[in-house]
Amino acid sequence: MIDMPWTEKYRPKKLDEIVGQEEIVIRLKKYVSERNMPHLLFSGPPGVGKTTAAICLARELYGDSWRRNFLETNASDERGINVVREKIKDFARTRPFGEAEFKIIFLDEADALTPDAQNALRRTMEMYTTTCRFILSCNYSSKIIEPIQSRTAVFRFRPLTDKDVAKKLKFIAEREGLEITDEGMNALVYVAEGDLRRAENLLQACATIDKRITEEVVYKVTSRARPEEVREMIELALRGEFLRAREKLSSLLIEYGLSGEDLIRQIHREVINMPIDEKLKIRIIDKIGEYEFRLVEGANEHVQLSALLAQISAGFGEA
Amino acid sequence: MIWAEKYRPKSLREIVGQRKAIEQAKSWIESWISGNPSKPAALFHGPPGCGKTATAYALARDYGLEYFELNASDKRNYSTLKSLALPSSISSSLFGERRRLIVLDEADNLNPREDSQATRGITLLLRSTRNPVILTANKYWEVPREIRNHCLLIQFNKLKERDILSVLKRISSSEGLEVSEEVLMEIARRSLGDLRAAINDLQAVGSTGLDGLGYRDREENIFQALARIIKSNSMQSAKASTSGLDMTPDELLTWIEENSPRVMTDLRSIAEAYYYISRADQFLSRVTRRQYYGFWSYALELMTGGVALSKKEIKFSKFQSPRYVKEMASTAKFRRIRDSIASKISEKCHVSRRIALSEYLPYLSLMIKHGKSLSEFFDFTEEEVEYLRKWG
Repeated sequence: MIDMPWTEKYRPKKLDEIVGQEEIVIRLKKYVSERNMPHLLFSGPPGVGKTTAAICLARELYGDSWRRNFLETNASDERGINVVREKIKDFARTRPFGEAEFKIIFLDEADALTPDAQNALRRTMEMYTTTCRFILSCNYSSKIIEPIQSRTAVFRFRPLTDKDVAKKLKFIAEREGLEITDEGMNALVYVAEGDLRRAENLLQACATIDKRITEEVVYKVTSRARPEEVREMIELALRGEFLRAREKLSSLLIEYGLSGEDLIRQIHREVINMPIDEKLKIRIIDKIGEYEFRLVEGANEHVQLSALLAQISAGFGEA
Repeated sequence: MIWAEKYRPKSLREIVGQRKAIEQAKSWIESWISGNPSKPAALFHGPPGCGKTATAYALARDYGLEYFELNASDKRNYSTLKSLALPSSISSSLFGERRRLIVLDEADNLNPREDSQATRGITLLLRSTRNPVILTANKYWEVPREIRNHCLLIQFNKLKERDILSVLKRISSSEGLEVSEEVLMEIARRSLGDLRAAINDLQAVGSTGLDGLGYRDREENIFQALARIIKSNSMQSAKASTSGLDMTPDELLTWIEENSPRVMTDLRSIAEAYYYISRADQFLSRVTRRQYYGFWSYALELMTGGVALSKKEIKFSKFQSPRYVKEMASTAKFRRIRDSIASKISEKCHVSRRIALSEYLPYLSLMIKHGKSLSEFFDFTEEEVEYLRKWG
């Protein structure tokens, strides 16, 4: 068998195989037996099964030819709502394949759309209601405009418990012939923070190092998988070495290809965990928020993040 | 005869490297011909020698218009401008004359005080003209706003070396010149995107050889301007320091950003300067998003004056060209590979490219380093596998 990511190899094929979302699975199975459903809104943190639930639903409704009645698109990748609408229009124009009553359009990361774009999306949803059902997925339903929420059945995916994550990891370990020590499992679960996708990727990377997964193996992988440079960059700034901090910033943006917004969130996470004066910490967080706002508004990521580092380096002067 | 004149393009087809600008110019002139002009004038802006005037000339020929060129800042033109705007000339087409294309060169050389007459004349012309008008400028933000407001802005880019090279080759073969490819490449490189300069150099090389050629002094200009900005003690003198520059505010900002922390001695000054740089950048992004050019002037004042007034002391340090921009250019290939990897992961694993980069790439890289082959599943190329092997 060829090497493939375990997130795909062990992605559930049936709704019943999904871990930790029992109530949701029951409701979705009802749609399958009735062969009808409203538009759906899946909300919940990353890696808890939103995309998997949508795919399983499609598989159970359409059988092997599910792909022909299922359009998967991602709001954060497409350049603007118009690209999304064009894709949807093309897909929705033809009739459902085979016996199917409707097609499914799965729009991932719908909360990446601005309110204006969501309004445009709402009109599109109305236009194709006879032939299509929409499943929107998001991390925060509060970022979805009211009119869309009121037109969809909302499903709140709960964060996975440590037990849920461990259950799935054990399942995989048995099939892959791995031994996970108790401390190893604790470490896996701790790092995953309820995100099963991360847990599975992490386990797979660990398995390439050793068949026996210990705490040590897990931390070795995590430290290599996350650019250390983020913390180093903040530490340089805190020591007032602004120019060097700025160099690190360039390499994080260019070499690691992190987006400004991902990077500023990582900075935020690092700062929260740093052993520094609490008053300083809160002032830094205030600045981080301000600069994230500027980034979201569309300003240049290198300029804005450099400006943030300059503020941190100066220990916040008058500016 | 001067080759730059002799080989001036006779048709839009002969113009190199400005596809987008030409498309915009064509649809603008077509809106005039159909009797429903989108804007009375078009402002062609861009660096010297990139084809602004050549495009105007070729446009006139391709669409059968009479070409009428004036230097915008020449005061003596006031009466001419006025007469161009007057009904008598407007109705000239009634007598069977061809429609005219009026071209006003160097519209950014108008000095609001000294050339107020010319500015008024042009504004008057644009308000009432029955003929399409093209203005050319290196820096459109230096064209008086009352003129700019009547114009469709069309941006011309600095030409690429390979575009310049292709023209140089054509000319040297038609002139029967014996010049090696390396010399032509060197001329193209030194021209810094200015085709007119390259053609002039080619003509000079034909008689004197490569040694006689000097470099043009664009980089020197920005270094001098930076020094003047940073030394200024008032907003106005800081802003005025940019007047000789051949650069958009966006470019200028990257130079100021790179260098101001290098010459400032204390962290508070740097933080304060960066505060203004960040604000200027916000205005620049608003210009792009809202297509409202009124924000330019805030951006310029903040990035020059704000930075100048933030400094306490200056230390000597060599100015450098913006590293971030250079690195982006030198890593363009690298980033293309990365993005292609992200797309492949995105497709196979049902995630966005953003998640592919942050949640998959680090782990896949580790697996590949430990001998797993994921190429078959993801359809990775050799290059992409190599990238993953080196990541981190």
